[in-house]
Amino acid sequence: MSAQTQYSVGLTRSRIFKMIMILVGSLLQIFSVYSQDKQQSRIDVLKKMTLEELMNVEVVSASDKPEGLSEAPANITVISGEELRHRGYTTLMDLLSDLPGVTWIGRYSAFTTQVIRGNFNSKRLMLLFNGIPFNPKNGFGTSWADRFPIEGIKNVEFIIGPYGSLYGRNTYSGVLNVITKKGEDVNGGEITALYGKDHQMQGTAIFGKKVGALDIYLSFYKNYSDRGINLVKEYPNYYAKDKREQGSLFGNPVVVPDSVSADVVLPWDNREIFLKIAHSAGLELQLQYNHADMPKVGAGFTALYYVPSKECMLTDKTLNASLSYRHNLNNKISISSNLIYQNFDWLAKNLYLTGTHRWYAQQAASYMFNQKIRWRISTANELFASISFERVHEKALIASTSQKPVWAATDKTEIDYLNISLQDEISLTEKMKIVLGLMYENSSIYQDVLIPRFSGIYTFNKNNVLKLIYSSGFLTPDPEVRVIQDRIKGRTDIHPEYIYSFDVNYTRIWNKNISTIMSVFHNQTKNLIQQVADSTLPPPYEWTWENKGDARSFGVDFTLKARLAKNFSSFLSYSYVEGNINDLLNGNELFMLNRLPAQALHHFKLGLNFLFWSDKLNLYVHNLFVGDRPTWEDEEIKGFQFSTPGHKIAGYNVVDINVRTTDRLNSKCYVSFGVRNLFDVRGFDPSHSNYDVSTYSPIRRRSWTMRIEYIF
Amino acid sequence: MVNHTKLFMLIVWTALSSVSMNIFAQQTEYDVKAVLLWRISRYIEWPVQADLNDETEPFILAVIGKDPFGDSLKQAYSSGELKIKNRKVEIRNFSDITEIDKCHILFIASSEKKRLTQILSKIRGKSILIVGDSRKFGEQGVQINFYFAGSRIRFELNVKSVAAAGFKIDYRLRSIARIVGGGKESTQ
Repeated sequence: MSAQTQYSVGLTRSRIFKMIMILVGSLLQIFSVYSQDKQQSRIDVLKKMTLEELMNVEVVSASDKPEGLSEAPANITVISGEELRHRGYTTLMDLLSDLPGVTWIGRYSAFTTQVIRGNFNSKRLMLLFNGIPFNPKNGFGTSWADRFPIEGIKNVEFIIGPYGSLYGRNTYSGVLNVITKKGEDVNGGEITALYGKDHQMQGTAIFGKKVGALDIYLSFYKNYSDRGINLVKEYPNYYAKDKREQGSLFGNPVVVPDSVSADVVLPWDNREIFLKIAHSAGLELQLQYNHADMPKVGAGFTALYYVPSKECMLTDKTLNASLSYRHNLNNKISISSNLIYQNFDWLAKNLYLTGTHRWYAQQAASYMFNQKIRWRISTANELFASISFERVHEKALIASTSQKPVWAATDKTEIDYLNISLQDEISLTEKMKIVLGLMYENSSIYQDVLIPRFSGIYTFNKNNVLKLIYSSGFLTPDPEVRVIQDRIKGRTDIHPEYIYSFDVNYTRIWNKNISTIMSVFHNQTKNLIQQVADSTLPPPYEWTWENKGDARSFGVDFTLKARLAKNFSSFLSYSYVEGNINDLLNGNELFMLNRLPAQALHHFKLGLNFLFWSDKLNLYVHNLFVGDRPTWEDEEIKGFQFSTPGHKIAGYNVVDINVRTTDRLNSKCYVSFGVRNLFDVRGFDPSHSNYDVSTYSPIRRRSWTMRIEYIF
Repeated sequence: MVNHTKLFMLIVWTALSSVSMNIFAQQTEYDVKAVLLWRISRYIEWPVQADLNDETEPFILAVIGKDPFGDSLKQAYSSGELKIKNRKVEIRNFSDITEIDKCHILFIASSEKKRLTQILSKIRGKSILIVGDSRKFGEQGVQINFYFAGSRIRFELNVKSVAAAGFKIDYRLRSIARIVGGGKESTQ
């Protein structure tokens, strides 16, 4: 496709989009007259909710508010189960796209990752499932956001900013805690089937029931999409048909393995046994034992296996086992002891067009003992302390051999960690609360780490809260970097990468329909380690890592939530991110182009949620637009296929429109139809034969999905 | 950039063009609280003295003071679909302390702030679950006191008062409550 054609198609797309918006506006006006406010129907909806869901319903307050707008000493966003259903998300990735300050890149390749306030890389986000960490430590290749059925999620909590002092190392950009459903939440069954363009196929079956005290949850999940990647069609002069399978692993279809899971909660006197068995092209088994009277003993075991494709493969196995004991010594002091074992095995093989194989492998086994104590000194003062000892056996290699490489002694590292953290939460007055925190880590591989945390919350009145948040985190160097650390340019020692963040957050409820949240932030990064190309090195190490020193980013997040009418709610968020962090990260031009959406100065997100036809249909429109990066001049992207002399890239735009039936039409069967229009501006220079076309190519996509849910 | 600006303005127009519609009726506070009472009661075991064995007798949910629920309680419980302890729920209103009669849940409205101590004294020793939604009610002995965290409803649990009245609280309920009061509570 010529560059000129691309440009003209862009104009057509704008016209179509305008027409869609006019249509949407008209629909909003026409159908609103049919809407009715019926208290009974609202209560009927509430009756179906669990206790947790009821406590997540946003309500109009009329009573006293002993608390301010938010108790959390952090910048936190909660997406409720109700919002999950109304917005028609199909994966966690869709959900994250709606959060302020978060941008996804590479959505249409297997190489998907999120960027949070300019911080790139999946492994910088601490991902928790029900409070338990789940981080694929490699940070790329594994698209964890597709692995979990959205139907199994009850709600999601997202904390933006580094909270290493509380959650430990690698809590760099934020924390995402996904709360999953139990049998009681499902109370019956739910079968979902999705089909869409780009061979998107998703099937989920969930069954859950609480019988007496017995809670049972079963789920089956299958997800497949080739993400519309057709190299032969898009690049006929570059990719011959017989080369279809010879991309890198990033260019291959995303095949998420079948997933089957069964959770059973068995009552036993005052105790509870939680048993989870799951198969995800591997085995996941979790056993947990809870005692009703606070002391808790739990054991968990999980394993995941990621399927290989033909020539290019990726396997990812993780194993977690933990044993914990928790006890309330008295009304003021509680302690918990935890033994945790984690095993991680990651292997990837690429076959390049040159015929070269390249293997990447990482393995890690971690043994940890952790002791926590929580002491309620007074009603206004609570102290938390934690101490951990951890030993990690780690291996990493990169090799260019046709056969699977074997580990050498030089590939191995043993690391010991000692970690101590303290946190004190003090209510100075009824209106003012502060949280002080400090974390110290000593390791055998890099210098000691000492990071602070401070949060101050001031509640002016029931509708105004100001938070001052100073937090920090650090990222341990990648195992691959550590093992071949002598290759780091200009230095032989390795330091963790630090981030110090200052965030001023102000939340205001203007009236029962309108609220705003505004944050002004500044992030200071230290020891920014970046992979850079170095042609002077022999293969397979044509690149190395460089300590780029300090970097910073700063900006503003602003979210407006408004219920503009009885059946119409909306949000508008705007983020501005500036600073030199992107410039420093852009070690080579290909990385720069792939990160283009994340590099933008301006990020707009708009969500419109509208009930029409007497509340029988729910319409959700989401628009993400990023744009206006001064460095997007054509000379910097010269040679890429979409580049036209004199033409500047305007931005990156995604529009999702989803229409879903509601229980007012049928309480058993829900049908949704989604349309996505994406213009993903990326570039590729064919002269770089070692790089994969699909990841760095300009892709403009329109896709659709049809989804049917049956609830019984 | 120009095209995108126009598009964006168009979307904003789309949003603003609907302002003329009626003000959205959010889930109201007392609809949620009415249903929460039912949900919460599932995690509480009443003492034997409450005499809840006879399922033909109604479960009495009473409000004392200026009733903030409006029609919410009636709408929630009148159909008989929501049962507490397997009994149909009957709603009663007491306008004065002297009217307090047999009931299983007593919601103390904020209008009774000044008479709270008297009310608590009157029902002391009875197997009545005391609920409220006013500042400092929890600390003063109201067993379950709703409050707001942002725009979401939370509740305080006075463990000392609960234990004294002989209620057994499931640990799951306790785990999501903000504990106030003191003493060692009884658990199920």
